[in-house]
Amino acid sequence: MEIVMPDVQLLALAPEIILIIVAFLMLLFSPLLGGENTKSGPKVGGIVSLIALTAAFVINLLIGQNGQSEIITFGGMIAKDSFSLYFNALVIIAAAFSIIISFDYIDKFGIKEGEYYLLILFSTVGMMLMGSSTDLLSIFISLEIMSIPIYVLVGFSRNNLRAREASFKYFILGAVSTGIFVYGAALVYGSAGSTNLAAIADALLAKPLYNDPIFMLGSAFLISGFLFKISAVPFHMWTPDVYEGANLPITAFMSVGVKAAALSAFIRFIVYDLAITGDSWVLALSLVAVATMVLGNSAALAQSNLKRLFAYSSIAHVGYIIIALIAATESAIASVLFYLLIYIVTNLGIFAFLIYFSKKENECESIDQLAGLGYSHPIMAVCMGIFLFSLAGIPPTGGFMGKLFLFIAAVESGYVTLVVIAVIASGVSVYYYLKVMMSLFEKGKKTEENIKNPYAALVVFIAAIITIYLGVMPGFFIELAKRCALSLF
Amino acid sequence: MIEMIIFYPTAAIVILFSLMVVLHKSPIRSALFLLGTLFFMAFIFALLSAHFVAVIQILVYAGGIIVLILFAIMLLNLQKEDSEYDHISLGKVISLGLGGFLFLIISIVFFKMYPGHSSELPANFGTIEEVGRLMVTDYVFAFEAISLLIIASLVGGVVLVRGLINSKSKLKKLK
Repeated sequence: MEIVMPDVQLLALAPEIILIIVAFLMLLFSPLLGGENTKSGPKVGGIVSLIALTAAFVINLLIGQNGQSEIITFGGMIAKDSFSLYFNALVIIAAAFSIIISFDYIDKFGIKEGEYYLLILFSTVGMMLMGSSTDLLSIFISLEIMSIPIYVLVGFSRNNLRAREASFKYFILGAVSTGIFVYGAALVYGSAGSTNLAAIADALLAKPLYNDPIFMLGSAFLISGFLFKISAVPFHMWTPDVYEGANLPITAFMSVGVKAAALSAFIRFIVYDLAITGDSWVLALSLVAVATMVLGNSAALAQSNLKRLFAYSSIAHVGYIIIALIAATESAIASVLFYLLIYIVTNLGIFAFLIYFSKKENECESIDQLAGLGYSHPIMAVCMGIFLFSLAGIPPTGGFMGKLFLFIAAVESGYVTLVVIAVIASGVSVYYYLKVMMSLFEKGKKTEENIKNPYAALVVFIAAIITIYLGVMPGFFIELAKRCALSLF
Repeated sequence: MIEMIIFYPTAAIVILFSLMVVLHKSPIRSALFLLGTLFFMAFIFALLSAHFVAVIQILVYAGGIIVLILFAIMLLNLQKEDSEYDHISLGKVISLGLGGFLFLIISIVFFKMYPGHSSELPANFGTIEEVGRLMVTDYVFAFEAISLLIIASLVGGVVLVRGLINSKSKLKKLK
């Protein structure tokens, strides 16, 4: 028998492979460094994984500079184009910042296991593979590589009952959603005869499969699986509970990394396949977008727990993004990429801020705990103000620019009603973002405290600077997003 | 024709057993029903000419995984908690309704609207040779990525269980 290997270009996967090798080395050597009695164990692991992430980031940039527009390898399962490189860069940034804000946090909360950083690395690899996947099979596997470490990380605090409950809930619901995704993939395979996204597109062009009920059902299941991961209504139930139960750095990582990765695969599926099936799925996604924006924003109004508040706020932001996904034009996808960059930076900044004010074994998660902090820590409060303004979409922050381009792209494609609803919804969102702001500058509650957490403070400053920079001079990154979106079409 | 005679009883048994996995109160019996489900799933694989997968299904799932699950249940030494399952809540009724609706849609699609495909299988379909060849050629990425997935879940499982044991021993020290 003759064995013909497909074209395998390992160099294209170099960033992922570096992270995998470092993770395996950490797995081997962490018992020597970590453990109950050593103090430096987890920290060494954190620094090593930061170095690995930096290396992966640099190589990712080098692959992008290479000039080769697209590398398709592993028999069409993996594609390294500008789009996947952009998403890889995003999740590497998310992972690196989550690791930096973990440094002080895990000392305060008595987490000694070195596996903490290891699982973040594994999950990052899954996210990166997801952005590069062009086959339903590889999307499914990387989805699992991403999710399983996250399930464990959510329940990482061993004595925290809330964390265990959140982890279990997320695991059960995640398993069901993955099951639905696989069922959908099987149905699409049965209808189109291939799991490769490009081959499915060919099959769709060859004969009008969108009248095929099997394809409709399969793609509906696939969409449900993606919507669960990006926590869109009606698949959002887990989000507030899981975000509340998880440790703050993990909440930060989840709220940006998982969403970005799931969106990257979702965008690819929409642009490659769904966009050529006419508008059979537009109505469904429009309803999802409206429900997500309305429910996310109105539920956030009532929250006094900050983690839950930002969970609902992240649901609302997914709603805005889905509008652009419905448009699915080049400029709409570019605006999503730009929006995600701002969303990631801003959210990481917010969670770093919350970590900065967390005390030993006591997370800063109630809105009352912020009272008066604006007077004792004015610089941090101003940074937080920038983040909140950015999420609310007020100039001159990045969030304004992001929303502007998103809505322009949607209006260009003729989805005016959706944009009007989105603008009203984001107007409502100003109320609860300002509520947090008001609490920061509440009079008469001046608290003098000495807080030392340089890592979280660093992340807050960097995030604030980037947020302002993106709001004032977005040119370079918009061009970048446009170029990366172009590689999909 | 003979395929139909084998398929319908097998499918009925698989559905019945998997319902029992969810509905039965005793975890050990649920695990045994799961064994039955997986065993009869192997028949369906065999009907689809995937003989190698059918054998692996019996060896690995029915033989290996179920034994592990049984060991885990016995080691955990679960107590009976009947009361939790007795009441019928509104949520359960709604989910049953929605689930039934989804089932209805799927069955309409399959029985009424789906014309069905059939094509000639290649001669070596489902043989060990062919499965092995596909695994290291077309599906080499999936093969390698799944090994990473297994390591990741192994580490995750160890982390979770170690936390459990540590907190239990701490409780004992306190006592």
